[in-house]
Amino acid sequence: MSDSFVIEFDHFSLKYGDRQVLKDIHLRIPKGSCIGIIGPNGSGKTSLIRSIVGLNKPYQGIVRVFGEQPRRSWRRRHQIGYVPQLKSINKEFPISVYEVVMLGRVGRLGPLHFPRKEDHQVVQESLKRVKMLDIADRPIGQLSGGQQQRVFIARALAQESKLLLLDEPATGLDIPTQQSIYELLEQLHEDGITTLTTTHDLLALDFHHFGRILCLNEQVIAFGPPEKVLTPAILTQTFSGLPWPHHLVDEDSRLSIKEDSISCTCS
Amino acid sequence: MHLLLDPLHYAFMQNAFIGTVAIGILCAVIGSFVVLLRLAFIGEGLAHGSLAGLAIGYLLNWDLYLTANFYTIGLALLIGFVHEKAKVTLDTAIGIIFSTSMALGIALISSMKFYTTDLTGYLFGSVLAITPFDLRIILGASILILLIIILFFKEFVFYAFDPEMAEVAGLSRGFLHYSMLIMIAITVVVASQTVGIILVTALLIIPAASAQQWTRSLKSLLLLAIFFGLASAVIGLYISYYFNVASGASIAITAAVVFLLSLIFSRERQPLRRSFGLKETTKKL
Repeated sequence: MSDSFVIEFDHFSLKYGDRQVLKDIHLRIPKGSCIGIIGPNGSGKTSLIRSIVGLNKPYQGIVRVFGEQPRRSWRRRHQIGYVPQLKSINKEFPISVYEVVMLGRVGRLGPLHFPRKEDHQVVQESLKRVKMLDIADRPIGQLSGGQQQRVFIARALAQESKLLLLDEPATGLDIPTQQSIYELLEQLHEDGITTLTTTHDLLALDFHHFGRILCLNEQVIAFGPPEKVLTPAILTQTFSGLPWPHHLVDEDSRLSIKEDSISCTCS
Repeated sequence: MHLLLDPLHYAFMQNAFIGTVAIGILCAVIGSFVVLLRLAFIGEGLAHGSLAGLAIGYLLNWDLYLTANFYTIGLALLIGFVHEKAKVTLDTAIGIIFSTSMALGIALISSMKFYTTDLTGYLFGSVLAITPFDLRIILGASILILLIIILFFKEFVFYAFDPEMAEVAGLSRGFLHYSMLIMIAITVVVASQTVGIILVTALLIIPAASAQQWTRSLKSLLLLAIFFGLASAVIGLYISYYFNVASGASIAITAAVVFLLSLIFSRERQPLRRSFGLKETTKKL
């Protein structure tokens, strides 16, 4: 494993029962990169993210995060920040915005330890970054979906993780909130944090914020800088779900978009 | 004052009082997690299922509640196992296991000479049932469980609020899930000594549900649940003593009255306050 890669997929396949969800994913994500993952609903974006955090076991192949398989690297778990798709929460759960964000420190603190001054500082800073410090005392159940999403992003930030995975963070949010999330991604990129952000909604995605785009539809369709990947042919391929290879077959049935140390191979 | 102190001159009432206080606190704390985890049915299921544990203890002449404790822990683990492995929802797993276990209990009881008074005590609670040995079990279990909750409080809160993200953060979902099931099992058996296995859910669920009417803060919820649980248990105990009714029934009814009053008077329930002609308030706990 090279230290320059945060995530490495080696011929990774995933099945739910008999249904193939991800097929032969072979991918390297370099440190500090800002990746946008696009694909239609059901294309395996969430499954890919869940595989990175160890919630899905591979059918074939392997995924390594920071050089270790996710389920075996409990001690490194807090290094992965994960913001899942917005789901309905237990609105009656008596917990404040501040307490939810403090949960992000639990993995780092470890058992039998109580939050210290520096943990409170990190929580406040995280809330400030998502502009939620003013309503830190409000119960989470009283917030709108967009506000809850920002709180969950703050919880992931409070982990002070080196890798942040955001699954459809902009879905259902108003345009200013979407914009503020993309601005936050840029700041995180400047801080050297690797981010992976998924979306099925091309209109909601502001490509300029991403260094590289991963087009996914069960398998990797393309991976590279936006200007090279976002072509009508590749987008049609990604969103039409036509059998691969279709549009992008070169002589040996392999697509390679190479830039720096990134390579993606689909066969 | 005499009404409160006179009963405590009897040794059995002292045992009952100390046991009831411990059980009131323990049930309130574990019950808060049961309510937050939406596991009300598991409390009910384990309590009813523990009947077979009591019957086995009776049959083999072992300590009843100690046998029931171990039996119910096994039952809780079995529910968790069936839920995970048999691809059924938790409710279905509880339904299968508790009805089977209760059937086993009824079969054992019906096949042997079981004194009716003993059975009434187990089913509906009896303050007379608490022996000094039982009291040691109650206090030991309460201290151990409360210590575990204090030490792993943030982990259990994370698990209760968002189990999947707790797992992603590196917490062991299996450890938290099964240890909570074991603690619920022990609490249910220990509490059944005062409220009986039929009504143990009352002391487990109602104080936490009453507290939920008043606050949206976790710490306040726990403290209020302890206060309501303690009040219900102790008032219920005195009612049981003076009116000669089963302690389980008097404690459950007291807890229910506290819940009703909370529903009417809590500041979180403004529409209900209005419908009862009470003033609206803006300040929240």
